[in-house]
Amino acid sequence: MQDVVLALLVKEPSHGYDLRRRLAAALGPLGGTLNAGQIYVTLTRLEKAGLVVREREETPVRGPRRKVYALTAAGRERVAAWLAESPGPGAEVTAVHLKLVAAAESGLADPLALVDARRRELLRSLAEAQRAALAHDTDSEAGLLLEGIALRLQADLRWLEACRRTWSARTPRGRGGGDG
Amino acid sequence: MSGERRRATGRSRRRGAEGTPGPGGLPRAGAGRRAAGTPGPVLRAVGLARSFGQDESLVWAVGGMDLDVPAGQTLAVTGPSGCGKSTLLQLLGGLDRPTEGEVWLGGRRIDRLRERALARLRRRAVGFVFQDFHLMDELSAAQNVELPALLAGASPPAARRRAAALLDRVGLAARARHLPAQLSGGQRQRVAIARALVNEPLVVLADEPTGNLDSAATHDILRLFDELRAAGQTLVLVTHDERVAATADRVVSLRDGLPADDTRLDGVGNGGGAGNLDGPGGPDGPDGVDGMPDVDGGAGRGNGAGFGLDALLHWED
Repeated sequence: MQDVVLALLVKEPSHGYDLRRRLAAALGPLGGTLNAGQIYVTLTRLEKAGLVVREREETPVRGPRRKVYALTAAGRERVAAWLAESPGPGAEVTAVHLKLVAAAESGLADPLALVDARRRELLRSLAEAQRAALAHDTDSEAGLLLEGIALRLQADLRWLEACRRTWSARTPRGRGGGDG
Repeated sequence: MSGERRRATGRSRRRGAEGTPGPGGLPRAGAGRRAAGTPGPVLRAVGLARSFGQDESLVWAVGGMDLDVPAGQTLAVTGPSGCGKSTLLQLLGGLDRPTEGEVWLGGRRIDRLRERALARLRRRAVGFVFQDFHLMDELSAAQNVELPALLAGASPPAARRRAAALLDRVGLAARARHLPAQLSGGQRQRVAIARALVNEPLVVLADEPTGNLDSAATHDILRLFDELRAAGQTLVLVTHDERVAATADRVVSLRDGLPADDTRLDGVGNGGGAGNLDGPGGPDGPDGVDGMPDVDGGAGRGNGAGFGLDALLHWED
């Protein structure tokens, strides 16, 4: 979650409440349990690590003062590195989803490029699983495991197709690609 | 990096059923072509396009595609329905004619052949496999396989011999006299594949070959395709099933009649550079976004490295 929070700060400094709102929007019902407290815990850790700084205290028209956090150069570097890193074959849907959201929100990477790269990676994993599956009996124990792995990769690939549709409809403002 | 892969798993180059290299078995010509490494693709499309309708209702099902399929390659064409993949297959097999562009088969341009010459060429040089098998209901399995051989001019005994060998090859020797109605879906498709091979075609074109099959039958068909590939048969599969596509050497994804991605899978599981786990950047990656995987389809090598299956095992104790 640290990386996602960093990504949400790339474009402009923000406060915990706003970060929570944006995360909740991306997560839907899965974000129901997120509370502002957790976000502040994460922000405090990031601050200690030198990845964010508390910039100034915003004085709102009413309500309490909010601590506004901004990304440091190191924080920015870390987001970029995280975005460039593959989430790995067994990554959960939520983790991949958050990375795509983070890419779009930060402008540091093109979600479509991430989708395509992941699609290629998963296709290669699936190729390996399928080839291994063909070499095993379907009713052997190993064959059963390979069937499960292949089905799972297939589901991930189908979901990526949906990601591609949605993100391509949503990113007419040009590819992030380079340096935000 | 290839040296790090200890297991040479994956693609089996074994022939499935040893001892059946009979005369009518697998295409000798195909194996020979591959061994000789003849230059030039078996199948080539240049600026291939096909439109339907007119004026406002004009739709480009295939929007100007270049494609080379070298001898011995298994190419999978995938994409959502309506992306033009079936149209592409029809154009490649001479079942339909392009609005623009060229199709070359075995070094010969076919899109301008007259109907009769095209039909003759299709019969000899292309084997078709369809989703719903397209077998003749009133003919036995063996007769279905023999028919294209007879139409191509083989003598009845020769056609019978080839059909028998091919049915044996697809594991249906005992069902040769059965009518299609007496066969399961998977068996029918295996008959259809035997039929597609009977004239030793330059290329087999299969349109959703497992679309009507359950997973066990799909498994059998994919194994069969794998054996064909091992024997050097050039094969083009159109499928919306990622698992089927993943058995190919190469996957081209179409969107709106154009290739959106082209992924090579022929190194996978062979220690050929796939499956290395050092992803872009590594754990504590280098600075900046320069290590970002780039979108560019084409090569797909550097950033297309997949994950080894071993990456899916998290052993904790």
